[in-house]
Amino acid sequence: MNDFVKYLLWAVCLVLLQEFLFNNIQFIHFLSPYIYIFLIIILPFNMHPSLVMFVAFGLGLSVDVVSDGVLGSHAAACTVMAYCRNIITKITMPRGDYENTSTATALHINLMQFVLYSLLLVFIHHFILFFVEIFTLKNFIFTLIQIIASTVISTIFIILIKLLFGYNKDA
Amino acid sequence: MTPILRFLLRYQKIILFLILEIFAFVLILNNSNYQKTQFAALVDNLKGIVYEKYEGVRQYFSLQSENEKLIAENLELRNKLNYYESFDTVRSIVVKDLIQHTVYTCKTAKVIRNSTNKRQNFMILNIGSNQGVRPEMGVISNEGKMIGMIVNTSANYSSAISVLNTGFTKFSGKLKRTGDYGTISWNGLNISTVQLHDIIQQSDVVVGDTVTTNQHSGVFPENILIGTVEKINVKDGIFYEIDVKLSQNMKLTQNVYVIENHNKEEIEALLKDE
Repeated sequence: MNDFVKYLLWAVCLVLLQEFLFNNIQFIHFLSPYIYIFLIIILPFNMHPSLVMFVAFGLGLSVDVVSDGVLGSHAAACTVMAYCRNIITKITMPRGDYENTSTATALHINLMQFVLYSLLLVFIHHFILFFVEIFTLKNFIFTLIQIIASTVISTIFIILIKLLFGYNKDA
Repeated sequence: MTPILRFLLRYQKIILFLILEIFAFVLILNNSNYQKTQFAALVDNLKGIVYEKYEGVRQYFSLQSENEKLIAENLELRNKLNYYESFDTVRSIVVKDLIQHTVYTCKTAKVIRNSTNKRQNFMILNIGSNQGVRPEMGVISNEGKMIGMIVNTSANYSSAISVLNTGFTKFSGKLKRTGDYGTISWNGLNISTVQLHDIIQQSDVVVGDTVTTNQHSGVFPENILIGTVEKINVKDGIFYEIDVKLSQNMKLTQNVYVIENHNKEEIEALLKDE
């Protein structure tokens, strides 16, 4: 399948899944998992950083439009996440063994690396998202706990999605 | 020309990053209060259709508890009816007359979407402008407790701002016993507690006092229950900040009434002339 069509389908599915399933899951009243960022995690490593940022911004904006939050908050968080993607890749995979194939994605790395990689990216996303939504540094510790707890829950769901759908023919 | 191009290419990532972030923050700031009410009419209609189906399935599973609530409500109304019927003929005419000229009327509605997990929470109701709903109408639960206000309507759906919304401070409340009134807002920390501000420290409020709506804004009638005083905090020397425990469990609101004030235009016209 054409890569563009494949990722577009992923995007549509993830946004719909986010709004109609995961936005209705509330563990303690404000811990909702955000799983749509799975797309930004699995974009190919060698994709141009600017393109990744465009995709992330578009993805965030679509989630903003369909969910009832502060318009632009998801877009802002996703853009920061996409901007940090290269740095996180370098931290979690220092030897650069992913560069061997031109289409390598996070689906091809081993599970421990994937967990660390998504945990860091999800944390960056949630950090921006929660602070943009609150727009104040009051109750900083409380918000931080909320962010960390949400990060863990989101990452668990993201790993589940990887385990369910991540086995490509070339994996 | 080339140096500029080379500069742009060299720093394209950071430049693009800044442009996108600025765009996102322009969106956030432009929509911080009544966010996305412009989009709302369009999106709500589509979402309304999906969520109505979804709620249809969900409500099937809570039919029993809903039935119990309706029975309790029926009983209460029947008791009230008996009370009015017990008056003699002359007085019952007066009562009828009063009912005909009543200022507030209710429309029943179902909540098809309700969030409590955000800082800015909204509800979507299954009636809209076709059914006579307009922005700034009050929303109360079927147990008669204040829960929100309509902010936007589409043809058959409307979105209401929940009392659990940190971006909104237009709700007003008063202490039923002393008559002191102030504004109700939410600090975003606990979904069963809201804050009542602007109560001067001379007032003799005590824990357990009832907090109700007042009709200054014209959105709600007088004395619709909001909650009870839970904790009294002293703020900057002049005012109290009072934690009010909500009487309504905001997670369990399904059937609601939208309140229309028939004299609202008249009152607003008078205020404009001043």
